[in-house]
Amino acid sequence: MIGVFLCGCDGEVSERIELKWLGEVAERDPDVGYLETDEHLCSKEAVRKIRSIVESKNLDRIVIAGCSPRTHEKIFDDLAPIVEFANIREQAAWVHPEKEEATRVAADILQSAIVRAKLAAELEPVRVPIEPSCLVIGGGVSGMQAASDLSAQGYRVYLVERDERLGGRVKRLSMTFPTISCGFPCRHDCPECELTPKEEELYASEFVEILTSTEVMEVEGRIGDYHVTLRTPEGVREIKVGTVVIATGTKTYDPSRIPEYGYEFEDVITSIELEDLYMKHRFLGGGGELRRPSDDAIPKRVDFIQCVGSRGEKGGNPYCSIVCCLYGIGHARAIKEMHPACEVYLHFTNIQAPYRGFEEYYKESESLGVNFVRGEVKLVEKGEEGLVITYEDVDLQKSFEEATDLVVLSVGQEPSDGAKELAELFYRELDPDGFFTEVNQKIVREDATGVFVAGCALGPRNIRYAVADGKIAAENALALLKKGEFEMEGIMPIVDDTKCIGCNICGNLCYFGAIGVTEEIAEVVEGKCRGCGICAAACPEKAITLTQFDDEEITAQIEVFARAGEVSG
Amino acid sequence: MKILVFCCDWCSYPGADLAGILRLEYPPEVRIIKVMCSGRVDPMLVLDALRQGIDGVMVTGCHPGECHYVHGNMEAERRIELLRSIFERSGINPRRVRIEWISASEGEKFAEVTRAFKQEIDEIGPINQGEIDAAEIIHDVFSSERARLVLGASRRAIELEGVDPLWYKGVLERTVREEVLRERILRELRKSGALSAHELAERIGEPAKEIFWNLIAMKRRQIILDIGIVDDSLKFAIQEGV
Repeated sequence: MIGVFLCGCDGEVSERIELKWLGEVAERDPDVGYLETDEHLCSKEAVRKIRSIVESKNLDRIVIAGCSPRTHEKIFDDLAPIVEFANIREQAAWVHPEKEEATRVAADILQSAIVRAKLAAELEPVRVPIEPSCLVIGGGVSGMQAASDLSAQGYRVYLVERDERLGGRVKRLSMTFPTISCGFPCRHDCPECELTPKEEELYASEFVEILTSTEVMEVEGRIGDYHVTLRTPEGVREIKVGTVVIATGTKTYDPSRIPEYGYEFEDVITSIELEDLYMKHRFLGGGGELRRPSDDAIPKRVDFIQCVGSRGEKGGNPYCSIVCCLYGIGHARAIKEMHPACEVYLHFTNIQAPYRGFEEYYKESESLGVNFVRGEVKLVEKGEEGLVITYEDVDLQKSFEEATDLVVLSVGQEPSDGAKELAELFYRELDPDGFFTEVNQKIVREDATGVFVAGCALGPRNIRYAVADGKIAAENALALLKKGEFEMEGIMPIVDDTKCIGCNICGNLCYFGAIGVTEEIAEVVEGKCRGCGICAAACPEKAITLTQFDDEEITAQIEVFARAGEVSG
Repeated sequence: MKILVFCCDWCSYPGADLAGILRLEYPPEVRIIKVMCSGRVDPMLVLDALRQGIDGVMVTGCHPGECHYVHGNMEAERRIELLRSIFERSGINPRRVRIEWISASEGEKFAEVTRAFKQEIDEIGPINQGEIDAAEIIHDVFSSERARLVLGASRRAIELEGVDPLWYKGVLERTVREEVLRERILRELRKSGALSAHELAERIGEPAKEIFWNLIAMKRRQIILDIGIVDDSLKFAIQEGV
């Protein structure tokens, strides 16, 4: 028996829709055995009342007519075995100013919800257990933070890194800006450093297993139960985890794609190679010196070129790489401090310094003698005497052709190699730039995969935000791990094996690998389905039915709407 | 007049809600059916609405690249495009179906496109009996195996096997059109018993040659049989049990 509850929404509905007439329409249906109208159904008292009515009248299905299910679905959806919603506020009361019209529309909406309630099958919620462990892919600062937070709560963590060592790109940086906390040049070995202690902490943790020089080969399974095959230096290994954090970071842009910047010359280097130069001379015992690669001479002039491969400059990626402005400025300044006689130029089009303290740092650099030149660099070439840089200065409206000793290309960030393959393994989407998309970008909902992405894998970020991301991903994974199980939404395809011809059209359409033909007929993988229903809509034999939003329910709704005119004229 | 709008759970349904929250007026002829994804909308459902006399059907989903299920909206678009091209040759005004992308933040767009659609249906008028009959036929075609197989395999052919999309689209349209013709032949035979290719051509309004080849194909599939020459022409009738 169906109970219908009409909500007046404190006048929002009751003043715009004739609820009495709506009630009469509902009661005309022989399956409707109870009707109640309230001005405030979402109140605690009303909810309690519904609960007691459902029990005393033995209602197994109820229809809540009022606001959109997106507003208060959670309040009502456990009040009866089957709860359907008639969205008469957003779809009628608020959009049709004529009361008579709004009432007629609302009546149709209510009837279609009643029809759905009649046809709905009682669903056993699908609960899947969550294996109490996590795989963190990528051992940069983001992944390390996630691993550290997860292990601190006592969950088993596998930290997989493709490289020989943890630390990602941060490991290669000689210093970070604007906070240079640990001296210069840095090997990340002093006590104040963030990186080395974290690495040691991870190696010391009994909950963390660090697998370096290791890559993910294959992934099978679903939320709570992923079987991951790893390629380790010792051989192939399979692990079982409940959740996954992807923190694969980025790679730097390859500047040889822009031939006019002359990357082929020895003294044209990327910002990352500049870091290596500092390191090299520190190891040689010099300390605090910059010597150019070709002849180990201290340069008399250094030119930084910004936005190499970013912001659409010279055919580079369309987006801003976030970090290059600050490190370009930082290095320019550091060189100026090391070698005051050295002339330092920084060629830019726009300085992006939006975070706390960054703008001040940039302004200060100007007063320290760094020459900021707004304008395009046309060419870096090798003259008889050495490097020659041709650039324009927009502010002076002039072009220059000058000799220089060292050119540093501030290269941007790009999706790391293998991001695409990894995304496919975990059925994740990439955005047009090749970064992982944030699942909950639009609407915050429970994640149904147990796979979380953190750090630069989502797009360029600076260190602080990459670390924060690692914490968020760990937090999300912990929420699942602590619950120990996950309740699926309950929409599932069911294959009629007498009808299925094994064409695998469903398998080719399902992005999530939740359905497909493995042997003779299509099979559904419990725990992988997200409930879209594309398979059912495309099955040539109509062998697939859905536990919700099935053809039967939808055609019944269509019938209600098609016939509605005949009844009310 | 009746307009049916399919809304997906992730983008256009909340978009419609937003239209309400912003108190934007849209035509009271609009009725909404929620599905999880626009890719859930089987062409049969669209045709079911039309054959029951609903004057316009709009499928709405997430913008390309934003589908929560990755490519559900593209499947929906493929189906609506196919329906429109079939309608053009079958006497149904193709403007009765359309597809729109509406994000969760586009309440205004929801109101706008429903208003525009209503205006369009106003222009072309209510659905007529001829269109309803045609929708009935095409509905049956889309519940049969052949049309569904070729449509369902589109993604595999184009995206996984690299078949030229334009070529495949041609195959798809030809197949469905052929099935529509065969369905019409069947209906005529059911109505009048045995008929020749020429008699069928007269009733259906398609060239006798094309009808003849389809009769042969249908005979091979044992849907119909030829009952020999009667009055100087070869006549065909429905197989028993079909």
